[in-house]
Amino acid sequence: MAKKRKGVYYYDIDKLNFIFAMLAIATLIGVAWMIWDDYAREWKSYQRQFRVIETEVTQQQLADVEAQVDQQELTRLQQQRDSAEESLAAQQEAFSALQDELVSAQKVLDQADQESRFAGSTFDARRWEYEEAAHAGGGEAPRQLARMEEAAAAVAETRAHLEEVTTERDRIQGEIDELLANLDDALAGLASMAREIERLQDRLDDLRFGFVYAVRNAPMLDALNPSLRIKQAVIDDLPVDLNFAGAPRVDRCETCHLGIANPALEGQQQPFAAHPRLDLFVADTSPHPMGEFGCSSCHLGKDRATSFVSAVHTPDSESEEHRWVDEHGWAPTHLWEWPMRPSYETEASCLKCHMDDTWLPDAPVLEYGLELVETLGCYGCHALKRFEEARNTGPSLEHVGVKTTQEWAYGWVSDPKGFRPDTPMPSFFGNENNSDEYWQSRNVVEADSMVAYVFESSTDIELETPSRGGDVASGLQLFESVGCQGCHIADEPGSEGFPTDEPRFTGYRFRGPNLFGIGSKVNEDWLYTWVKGPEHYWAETVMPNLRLTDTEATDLTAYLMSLRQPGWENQSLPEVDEALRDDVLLEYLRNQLSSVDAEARLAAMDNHEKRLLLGQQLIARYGCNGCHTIPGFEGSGRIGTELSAWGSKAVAQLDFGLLDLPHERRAFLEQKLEAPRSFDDGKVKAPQELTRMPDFVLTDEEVGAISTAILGYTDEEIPDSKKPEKTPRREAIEAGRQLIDKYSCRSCHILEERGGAIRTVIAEQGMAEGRTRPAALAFAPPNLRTQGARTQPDWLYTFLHGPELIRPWLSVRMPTYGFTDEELNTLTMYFAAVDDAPYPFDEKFTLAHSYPRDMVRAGDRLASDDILKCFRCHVREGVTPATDPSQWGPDLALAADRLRFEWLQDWIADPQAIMPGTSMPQYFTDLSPGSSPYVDRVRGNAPILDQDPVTQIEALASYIMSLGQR
Amino acid sequence: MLDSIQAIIDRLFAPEILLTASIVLLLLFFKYRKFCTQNKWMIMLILGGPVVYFALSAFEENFWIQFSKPDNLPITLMLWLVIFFVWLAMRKGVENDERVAAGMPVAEDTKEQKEKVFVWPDLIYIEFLMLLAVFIGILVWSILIPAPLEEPANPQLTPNPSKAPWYFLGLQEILVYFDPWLAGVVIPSLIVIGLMALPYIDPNPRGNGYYTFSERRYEIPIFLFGFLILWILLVFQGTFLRGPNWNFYGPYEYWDVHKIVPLTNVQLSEYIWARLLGVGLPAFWLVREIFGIILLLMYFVALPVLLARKWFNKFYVQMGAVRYGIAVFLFLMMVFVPIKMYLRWMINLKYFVALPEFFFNI
Amino acid sequence: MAESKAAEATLDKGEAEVKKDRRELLKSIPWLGIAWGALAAAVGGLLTGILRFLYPNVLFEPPQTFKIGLPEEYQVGEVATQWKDRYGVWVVRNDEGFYALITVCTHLGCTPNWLSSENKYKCPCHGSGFYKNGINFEGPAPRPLERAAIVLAEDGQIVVDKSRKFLYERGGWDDPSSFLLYTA
Repeated sequence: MAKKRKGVYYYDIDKLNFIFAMLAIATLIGVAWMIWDDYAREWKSYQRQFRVIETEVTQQQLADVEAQVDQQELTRLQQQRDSAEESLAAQQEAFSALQDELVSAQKVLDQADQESRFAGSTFDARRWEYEEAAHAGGGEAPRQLARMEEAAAAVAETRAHLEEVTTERDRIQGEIDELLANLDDALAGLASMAREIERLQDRLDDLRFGFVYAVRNAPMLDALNPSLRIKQAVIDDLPVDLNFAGAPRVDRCETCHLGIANPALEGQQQPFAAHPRLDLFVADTSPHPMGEFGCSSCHLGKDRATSFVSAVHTPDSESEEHRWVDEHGWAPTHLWEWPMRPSYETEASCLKCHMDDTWLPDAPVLEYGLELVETLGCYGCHALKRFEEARNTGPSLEHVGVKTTQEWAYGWVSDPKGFRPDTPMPSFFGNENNSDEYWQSRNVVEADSMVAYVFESSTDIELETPSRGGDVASGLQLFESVGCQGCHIADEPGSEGFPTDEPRFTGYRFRGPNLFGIGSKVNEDWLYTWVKGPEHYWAETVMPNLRLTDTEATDLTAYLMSLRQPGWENQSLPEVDEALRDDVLLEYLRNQLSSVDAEARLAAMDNHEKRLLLGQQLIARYGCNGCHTIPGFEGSGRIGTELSAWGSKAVAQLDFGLLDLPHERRAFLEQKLEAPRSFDDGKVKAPQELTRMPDFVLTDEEVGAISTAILGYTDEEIPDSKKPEKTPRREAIEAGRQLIDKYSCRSCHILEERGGAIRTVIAEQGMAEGRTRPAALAFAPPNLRTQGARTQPDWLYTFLHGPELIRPWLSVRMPTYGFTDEELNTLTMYFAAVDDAPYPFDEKFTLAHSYPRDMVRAGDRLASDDILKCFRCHVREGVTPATDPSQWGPDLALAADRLRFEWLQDWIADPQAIMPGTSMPQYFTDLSPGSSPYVDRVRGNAPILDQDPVTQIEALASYIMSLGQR
Repeated sequence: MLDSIQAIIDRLFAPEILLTASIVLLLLFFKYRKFCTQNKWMIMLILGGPVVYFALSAFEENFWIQFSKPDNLPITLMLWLVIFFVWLAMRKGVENDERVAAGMPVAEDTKEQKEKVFVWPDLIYIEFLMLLAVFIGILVWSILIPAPLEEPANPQLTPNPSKAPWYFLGLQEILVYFDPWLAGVVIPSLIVIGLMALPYIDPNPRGNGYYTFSERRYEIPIFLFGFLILWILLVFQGTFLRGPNWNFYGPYEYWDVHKIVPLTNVQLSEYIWARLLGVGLPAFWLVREIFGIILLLMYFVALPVLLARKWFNKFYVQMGAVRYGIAVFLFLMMVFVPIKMYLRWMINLKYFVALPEFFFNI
Repeated sequence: MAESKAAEATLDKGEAEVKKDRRELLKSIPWLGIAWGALAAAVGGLLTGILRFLYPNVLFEPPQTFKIGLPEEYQVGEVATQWKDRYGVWVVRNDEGFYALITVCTHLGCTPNWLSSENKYKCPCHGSGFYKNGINFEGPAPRPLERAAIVLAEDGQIVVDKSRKFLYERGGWDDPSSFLLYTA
């Protein structure tokens, strides 16, 4: 247009056209780039890779299935099919005729069916009319009745007709079926053989990168039905916390993690690997199916993200971080508040749903962390859910004056780990922020005052005195045999006897304090009184009563008092800088009074009063009452912040001080646990502004476990449908487990496959005497597996209340715990609930006379020394057998009151199934009738109860149950 | 060595120094306009200097963090464009002034310039091509630099710093010195009213349709003072030099949330009553604030009269009392802002008149 | 001297000619056509992009495919109603296997109820009645209830896929996916 009249325009139109063309092409390139940028997604390349992997796996599966095809069967079916087709072809005329017959019979039937239906509905209607008329009264009823009866007749008629034609039709159908029988059979057989192969081949076709695939996934065309698509799980009831709203959780992880639920892909390279423990997670049959829980509810991270970096993956280690930076351009994302948990921290997420679970065997790190929290007593200063009812971690100081001396206590308070390195009590003095010259003197003042206060307020209780001449050697032997070692160690850390197979603090043998050096701590009378009856000194102790005789107690006391720590003998109280003490007290007084009043108050006190008042102020500051009962501090609160929602705390609200730490919750927490007072480094603070959290001197593993536990404390609200179901059985089991933890039953017994710490000690002792390990373990406390199914609840209740002797060959003694009625009920219910045994009533109400005499007699014969020889091993009414004690079995006379009749029979039938490794032999391997090999040898091999093993077992059980009644 | 240079530059960007230096530089620019717009070296310095400075500073980590934020990139670009167009306008103005002085018509008045062109295709075609170019630019920008999205909003946790959109950062900056009623309502309203009133109070008919400086030697500096110093500079300061807690941070300074700067301020009434006279503050507000009130009256009432008689006499005569009154009020209000700022920096003055009883402080 | 000048003139002329050739070549290309073509293509691309947005990549509807447990959990001859509220299917088991009926009445879309005492599905809206196998026999329903695809998953659970429907009147019930052969 403009070309011809060039000179008229201001601009050179040709040049403008050229520029236009360039810009248009640039626009086209830009738009194409934009479309491509939107289309080419990271996750698509992963899905393409996965298709290749899936193809390989499917091909492998196909090859496996094809190899397994029974060629003979296949040929046979094919032949059958061919011959059936031939014979059918030969009978083609008859076949068609039959089919025509069928069609007409069907038509007749349909007609008859319809008539029958009409008749039926007419009858229904008329019946209703009649009933209404009869009910209403008036003269309508007879007419309606007549109509109804007419309809009934029609129904009967049409129904009869229908039956006729149905039979006819069925007959014809039957003939046709007969003709087709062979063919149908063969076809069905072939189809079922081919089903799996066809399925796999269809899958392979789907996976091919062919034309269909290209079209389905082309840019723009992928709107309709792409094979490369986002996969998401929408979970409405576990919303993502967006501060002012909760958005439904939409987990798109599966878009890249395509093999997450496929067990065949275990061990594949990421991101295609299957999830570990598919029996627990992800699979639809597991307790945590992905459709119900998603992924980010446990792993955190950004649920709706579809790329590696935006999903906020967190590397597990520095080397992994470098690799991710290289491969994915990974950088930390500060703008998502919930970065994915590193894999070592994933268990923290278990806590928000399983807060009430006492034991968490499938989450070992979390369980260890929570156990540490319980043992170290973090809840003494920091309120924590789950530990609301927890008992004081440290012993009561109400009567500490009769137990030890101020001098010893001063040394202990100044440095507990100097006396007992494995004590849970942390260090308050000599930490990072109170070790300079000034603080060294001040620490002395503070510790001295605190001890003074505690001992001043301690009240006296009466103590017993041991008789003279306690034998140390007997005491040692008693200590090693009666069961003390299940809960106590009496060795220095690093020495030979110190256990290395259990974690300190939470190990069962660390339940009670390490008694090494105890002679330097306590006085003899106190120890004697304690050992004879711990509850006298401390009502809430969990140490049970060993029912020691006076001699035993005297010997034991003598032995324990012989354990000394030289550095802790004959100590004296320190020299206190009194002027400094006055300054410190003044400092505390000025918190509440004006300077003038404070000084006046100070001047009015003498040294002793000042010491006590300062001690009281300091105990309040350091929060000692959080772990110990101290007179004067009943009802005092906790001095730390509540941590029940610490895992949800905004990182911006954490004060990192001047420390060079990554700004993450875990880094803060680990630093806090490793060196609590390091946050004061480089800061100028008044003495009372200093951090006062004491130092627990934890190992890296302990710090990691506690961090995992605390990070699990979030403020998310989980609906009950996601939490473990609270059935009465579960509640009974949880309540029982709590008591088991409290009284450390697992120090001696194996309960639910874990525990029995004392077994190691007993095994070592036995093997030192020359026994084999299994024989040595015969002297260990029993494994309480199936205790609920085994014993009668009444008996168990009585036993726990006051133990009686069942296994006389054991030198370990089941102590008396002094359980309350409620605790006894909880424990017996627990055992029954674990085994799902009937509670509180037994299945068969067992009275002596309910056992038939002939059964008892037969059992007597079977048990005698001629046949099964039961009493070669079992104690009988107090009489011990002649064999080695490691072979003995419990007193069978106790069975009547103690055991459950049904369980006894199960036990005799297959002891290994109930208690693997038991030395009780299995006498009946085959339970089919007539297969028992045990005949009455005395009476000429006469059969016993028709050689039926089940009856023989019942006879044995009846005999055993009747023993105690004689 | 580098650290000390950076430390010096950090100090130079402090609000008090930045404001003073900017005013001085602007005045010098007016005075030596011919040199600044025609000398080869000055051109390179004025137009290229910021670019070079930016390029060199980009290697510094803290500088890069702020200037590379997707929100701040357009502002960086805008700053350079503002400098460029002011410089260009001055250059054309100087040119025209010289032409007029030589007796020639202004550059816009030549025969070539008075030629008419066709709307289609000359105007529309060019506009269309520009449309395409801008479209491509925006398209490429949007592909390469995704829109910035921060973390989900948390009602319990205010972001630190909390900044207004860039076009309001000038006002957020003067909130440091002024009461919110003034900084947020009165002054912005006066800006708007002032702009609307410009045709009314500007009696100078020159400079219509052509660039000039000497023919509008009062209007241009006053406007540019208000626009460049009191608006653009404060926006720049609010964007790049204000960090957490609205503290000042130099361009190379790390935005440490824990930085503590003493910021105690004293009322004028406290200065006079308590410090000077040694008595307690009077209870009744009129007595208490009498000194401030008198000062302000002198400034807003007595001073215009004085100016009308002496230095602004020309304007008074030319515009008449009413127009002069409005114009001088707006002018004094504008100058009041830096005066207050300086008094705050020098003697920690909080308010001349503090009337919390009426929610009015100035 | 003159020679060099002449030579120079020739050189210049050569250059000018080259330039002229280049200019004519450039002029012969239809820039305007190319420009409009490219622009049309770009605008077309943008429009296609807009159309693409009408088909979302993800939907937040409840899943159409779901697992309903193991075959052993269902009684032969019974209609299982536990999935009616959540997924909208009845699961029926007979001697030969399983089928899943979609709980949408084929008359006007209401949800019928299974009346086990009367052995029929009855729709409360207009009284349509269906046999246990879904065939309509009563009321205004024009066709039988629809079946959903039902297969056995690898872990042994039954999987129902409501996105694949099978209509009796179109021979859909002959399709093997509409029926899960399963004999205990």
